[in-house]
Amino acid sequence: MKWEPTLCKPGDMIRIRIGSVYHYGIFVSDDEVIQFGYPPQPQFKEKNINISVCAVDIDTFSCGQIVETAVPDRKEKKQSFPPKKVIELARASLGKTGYNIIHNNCEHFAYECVFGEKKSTQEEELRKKWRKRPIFDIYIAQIPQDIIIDDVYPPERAEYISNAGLDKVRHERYYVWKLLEYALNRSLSVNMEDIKFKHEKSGKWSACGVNFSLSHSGGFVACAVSNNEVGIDIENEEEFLKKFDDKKIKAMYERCASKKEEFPSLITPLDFMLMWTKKESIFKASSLKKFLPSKIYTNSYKTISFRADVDGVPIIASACGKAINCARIYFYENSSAHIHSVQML
Amino acid sequence: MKRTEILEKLKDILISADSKNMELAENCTESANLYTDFGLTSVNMLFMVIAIEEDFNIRFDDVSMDSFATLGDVVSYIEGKLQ
Repeated sequence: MKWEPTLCKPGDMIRIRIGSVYHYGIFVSDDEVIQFGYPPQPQFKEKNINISVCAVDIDTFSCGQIVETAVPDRKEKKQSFPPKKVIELARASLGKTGYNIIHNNCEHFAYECVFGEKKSTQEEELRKKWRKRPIFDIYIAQIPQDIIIDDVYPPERAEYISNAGLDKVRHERYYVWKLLEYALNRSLSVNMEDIKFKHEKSGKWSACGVNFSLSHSGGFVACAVSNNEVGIDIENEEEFLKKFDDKKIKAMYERCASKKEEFPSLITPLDFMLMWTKKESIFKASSLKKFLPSKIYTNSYKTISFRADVDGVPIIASACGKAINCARIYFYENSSAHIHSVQML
Repeated sequence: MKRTEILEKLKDILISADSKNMELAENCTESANLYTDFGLTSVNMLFMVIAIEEDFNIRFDDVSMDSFATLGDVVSYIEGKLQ
């Protein structure tokens, strides 16, 4: 249905814009516009306490705004009542109450008078907007000392957990999965058992219709969920710096640090760690099959990086994905998660 | 669902409605006022209510928006609907 600022005829559905919402009514004459409640304006605050269908003149209805008239298309025209009946229905509703901002508002009323059924495009648009909103939630947790490994869904993951050679890794693989279960439920309203998971050759776990990424390091786990591509990497600072004993990593750092033009911000091992987490997160968000740090460019994806102290232990994490601008960061403990402020890097 | 879980989900919704609410949501309690603390307008109130319906799978059909002043009021309403 189109809306145009044309001359109103008796029986027309009309509306005015107030801020980003519309107020609707049925036009009968300049002296009679039937509306469900007054426009949401401060001068009508008292009148809008007990809202009912009422008649006002066009000036009161319009509040000085441009009045738009509904111009139905051919199909809508066929579905609508003749103007005389529209007016009869509107007048018969005078005094009716039961206003509800979502389910029975001024638009529902006007629509019902014209088409015989309640409808609110404003409500529908907001619902659509909510369902399509970008989601990018990051959950961080420290593995509890007294962790007990229970069975997990699916069996492939349970097997993957039990296959870990070290207790430490087994705990991380288990706890990050439990964190994923919580995150899926809280952020995407999805039950883990309704999902078909796949363990890819690249080592990544994926699922049809759900985007998530997992990471664990030195007693910490991180999980990011989104309705778009997503990648996360977390590193325990102390543990990561120990990796510098690894000749390969040390050599890689020294090689990068010597290329000042290519890596101008790479000065300390911590800078290298930050770059590493970014590359890992990009690898996880991408469809790359193998993690080759030198082939991953940190400007190829939008990333965020942050640092946090958890019980005195410093961690650094990076995440990337299309919805990264909407990232919310939660700390999880005792089966619950809460928003947590972090130091963005 | 526990009251604290409802409050946390409600905070998520307020942040989705307006990302400026992030800092406030981190530390606020049930006594935080929707209008004076979170600066809710009629539009984002409408958005918040629709989001609550979608996320908690409930229907706000027997209440006026003026019934809610604090986060705790909304939590109580949701808690009642979920029972």
